[in-house]
Amino acid sequence: MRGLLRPIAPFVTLAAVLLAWLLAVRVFGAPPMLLPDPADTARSFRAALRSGELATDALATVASAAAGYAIGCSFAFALAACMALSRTAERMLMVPVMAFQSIPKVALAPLIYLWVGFGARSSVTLVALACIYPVFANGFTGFRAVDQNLVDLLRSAGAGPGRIFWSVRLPAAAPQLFVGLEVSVVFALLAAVVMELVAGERGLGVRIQSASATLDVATVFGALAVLAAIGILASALLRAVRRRLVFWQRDTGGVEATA
Amino acid sequence: MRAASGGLPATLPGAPPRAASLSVRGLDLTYASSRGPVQALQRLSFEVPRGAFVSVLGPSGCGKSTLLKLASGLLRPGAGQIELSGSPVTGPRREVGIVFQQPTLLPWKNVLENVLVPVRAMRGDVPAARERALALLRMVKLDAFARHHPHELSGGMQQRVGIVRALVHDPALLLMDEPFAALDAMTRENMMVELQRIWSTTGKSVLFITHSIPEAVFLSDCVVVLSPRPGRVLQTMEIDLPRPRSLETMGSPRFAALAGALRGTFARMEEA
Repeated sequence: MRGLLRPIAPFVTLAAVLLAWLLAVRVFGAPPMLLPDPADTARSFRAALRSGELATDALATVASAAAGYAIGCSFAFALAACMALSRTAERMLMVPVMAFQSIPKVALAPLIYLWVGFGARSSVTLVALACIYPVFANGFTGFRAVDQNLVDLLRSAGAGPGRIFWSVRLPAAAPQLFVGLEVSVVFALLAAVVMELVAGERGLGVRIQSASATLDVATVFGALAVLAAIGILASALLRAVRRRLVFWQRDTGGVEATA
Repeated sequence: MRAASGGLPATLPGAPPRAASLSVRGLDLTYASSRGPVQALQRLSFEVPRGAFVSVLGPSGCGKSTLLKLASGLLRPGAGQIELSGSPVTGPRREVGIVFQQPTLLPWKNVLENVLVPVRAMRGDVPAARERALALLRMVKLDAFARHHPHELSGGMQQRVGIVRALVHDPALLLMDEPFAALDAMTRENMMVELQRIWSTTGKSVLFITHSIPEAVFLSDCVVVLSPRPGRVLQTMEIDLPRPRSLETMGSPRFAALAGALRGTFARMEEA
């Protein structure tokens, strides 16, 4: 029984949600203006897919999220490396970084609209800002938490800080860096949509906003479903990369077993 | 002088082993802590003759590990001098190989690549070192595991890889910081015999840090006893047990007498 249930378990939950939705509309009579019928929603979704509108909007959101993610994560990586390697850099930058961290990044959306303007550029900017902290915080602690003996070993062989960084600190911090990268995926989508709501030209955020204005909840649902799918896909992709790169972490249970 | 007897054909074709003498004179080290300055070592002096196995024996917190960092040039003393074969140690020196309490291997590299880490760090001749690394792994019977990753090895095997890594660049002095402290008792005894064999095969000078009296007596030519912080030399004892020593040696009256004498030194130190 358990063996049978396991592969279909996620779909059981999905089916239950759909059933509850169906009951809410058809049995309990939820107003279709607020909660559209699942069948209508599916129809509108298919139509949006066929016309290509949905794909265009999704692509626009994914493009700004991905670009901002790449910029933000790269910047965070460099910042974490500098601050982990140099005490002076750490002392100079830690307070500003902490101050920046305590601002909810979405609160910057109106300001970014003022400074950067309308459209994709502002989305990319907000996404980049939102992605910085998780990668920075995990990278910084990861680079610093390296076994001092490993560092000493390389130092005694004459290796400089740069070489020690690339051959020991970076790989040792990889598991933690991936935690930051995964958190940032969520933040990236969030920031992309928020910025599109505030000052978007196209994208799923714009789609959600214009549909809400005309009380077209079915279209909103369609956009939300696509957002969820994008998030799940991006996280799964990242996890697959992590499993390949950080292969030694998977089998750590075996260390105690054999030691 | 011990001759290199087989096992290492790659870089030691009958040549005399590379070994250095270590001389420690009047070493003082004080470091800053949150509760003010702490004196770790006080006027510490001893010698490791060329090719000798010398243990530094002391209770926890007597600055033993600090001594190892000083000897490898990773730390500078407040006063005093350390000389490696007559030349003062002023910074990290490639003629030393270090073995830590934990194996300290890189989990993402296989055994062979772990052994080659120091060679790559010093931008050495990797193909030649690979031959030597495989010969050394053969010496500790781990050649079949060269492509395995550390997590696939037992604790004792990992520590043998750690020792091979310390030997791969043919250092003149081996510094060992309680290398068997993290192993279980049975593995530890086997590793003691193994280390004696490695030492007599390679002919290296060894400075071995430990808090185990039997370990020190079993392995050493000479045992230097340190006091609790600030660490200074309480006693230096020659160990005249014949070699090669086996686990049976540990049951001999002479072994018991030497270990008993060292225990007496610690007992008097507790009273004082």
